Amino acid sequence: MLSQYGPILILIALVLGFAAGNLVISELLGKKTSAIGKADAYECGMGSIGNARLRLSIHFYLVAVLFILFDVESLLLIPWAVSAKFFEAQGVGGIVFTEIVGFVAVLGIGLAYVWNKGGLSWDR
Amino acid sequence: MSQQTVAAAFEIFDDAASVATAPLLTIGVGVLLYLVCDIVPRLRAARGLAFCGTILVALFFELRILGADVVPGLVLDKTFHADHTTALFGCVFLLGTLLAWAYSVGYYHASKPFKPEHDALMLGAPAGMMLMVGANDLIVFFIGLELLSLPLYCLAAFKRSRIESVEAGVKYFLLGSFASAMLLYGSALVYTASGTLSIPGLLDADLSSSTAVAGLALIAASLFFKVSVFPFHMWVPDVYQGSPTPVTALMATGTKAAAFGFLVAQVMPLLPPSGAPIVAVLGLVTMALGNLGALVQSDLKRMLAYSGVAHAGTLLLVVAGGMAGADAAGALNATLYYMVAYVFTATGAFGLLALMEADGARFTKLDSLRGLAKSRPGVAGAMALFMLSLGGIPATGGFLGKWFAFSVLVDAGMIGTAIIGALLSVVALGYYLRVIVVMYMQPASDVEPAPTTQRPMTAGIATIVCGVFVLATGLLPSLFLAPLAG
Repeated sequence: MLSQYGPILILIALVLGFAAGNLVISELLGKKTSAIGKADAYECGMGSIGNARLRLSIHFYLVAVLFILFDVESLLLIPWAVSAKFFEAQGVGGIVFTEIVGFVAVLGIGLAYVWNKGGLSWDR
Repeated sequence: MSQQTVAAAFEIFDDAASVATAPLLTIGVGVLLYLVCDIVPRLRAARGLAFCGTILVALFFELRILGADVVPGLVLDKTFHADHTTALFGCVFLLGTLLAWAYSVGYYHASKPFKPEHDALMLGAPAGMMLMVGANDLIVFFIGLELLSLPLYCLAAFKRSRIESVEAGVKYFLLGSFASAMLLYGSALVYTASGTLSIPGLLDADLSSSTAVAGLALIAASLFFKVSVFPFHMWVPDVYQGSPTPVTALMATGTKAAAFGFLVAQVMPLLPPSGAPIVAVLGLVTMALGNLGALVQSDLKRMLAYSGVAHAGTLLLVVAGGMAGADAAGALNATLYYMVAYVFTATGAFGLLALMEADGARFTKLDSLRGLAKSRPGVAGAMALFMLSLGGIPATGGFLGKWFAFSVLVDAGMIGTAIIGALLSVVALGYYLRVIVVMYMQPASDVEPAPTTQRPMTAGIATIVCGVFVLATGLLPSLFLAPLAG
């Protein structure tokens, strides 16, 4: 059964070999220059200003996580909305609707909690 | 899709399923209720009530399963099961969480603003534990494991101002997610070999191919990590020491009980009998490492962490016995009994440390217990009882737990392993009794003054409950074994 995966193994070997081979060949054959600016992060464009290791407000992460949460909510609501008529026709519309209401209620309590704790206000 | 199949899909949640999942749903609703209580100013005083109420209602549902003659059995398309064993496990998880919470009252001072979050996370943990022991499907088990682990990752790092706590959280998170990944990879390999993830399906399937064996080994390794078996025990001392002590109490008892419950009830029958010697050696090495490691500790929390490793080794011997041909039901009952005794003993021991640590001070050095018998006779007495039970002295639950565990080994014909295991348990007495000696026979030291703390009533009640259960498991075993016999 595992032998079915042989081609994938060959592909992995080819991919790794191609990447490693290119590096080795360019190291062997390539012209080597060292000039000012060569070692910069960007060889073209503007010179970098300041340190890249900035301290970001934890708020960005919080907003991102909350976005994902409610993004998933809408992801689940849309398939239900599209097929609600189908469920209705199958005689299970009431059960599915109750489940969706329960799901939204859980997220609603979550939203109320975040709001109350100041998770949505930017300036604190 | 025809009309019948769509409607039939909803009949999966029948009466038996609602009985079986009632404790889980109660916890889910309870966490939401707790958060609502937290954000509505008028309900804020009722938060403690919401916590205890949720646990007690869930406990009622578990006791209903425990007391019923007809158990729900396999429900929800054979992915979850509930019987007397899982119900008794569930009761232990719920009581353990309630006790850990009781010890956390008054423990946090510096980070008090986030105490409600702490409680909400703690309240969610037993749902994961109950899902783990009831799981009859590897994916359901994984969900239970994550449901338990995610709150614990946060709780381990809860004392943000202390670097040890942050270290504990990061270590537990990194290593724990690695173990979760191993579980998933193992499940994938097992699925490749057998085409199913359900435990009943796997019992019928041929698991002798190398793919399946590798998968089972990965699953076993991830479980070994969760229960801290050699060579996956390295994280335990650091994480147990760094975490806030009430969290350690929950982590040390709940995770171990839930993972062993699943390991013995579901995974053990899948493992090949030829692996029994390996598991037995792992168990003995774990016991030796745990006991020898604990002998040299001067920090009580670290000592109890190593002691927890040793206890995991003892239970692994039960797994080895079960693999080698001992009665599977007997092995499960032995595990359950051992865990019931261990949960109450360890929770009590860690809880007493939490009690002495409150006020933000760190009183976990062995020397700080000097002369405790004079200054706090009640605390010293309870601590002595828990130490005796951990050591396995007769009349305590720890003794009968060890007795049942080694009986399984004898039943499987592994007399030699049983003898070595029993001798290693004697080594453990060295450090358990040292605590009692320090408390009762050494004068109070000036360098490490005895802790002077306020005494929260909840912690006192929790200690009494732990003590009563330790004695009850030691003196009245029929009380706990009777529901399992039927």
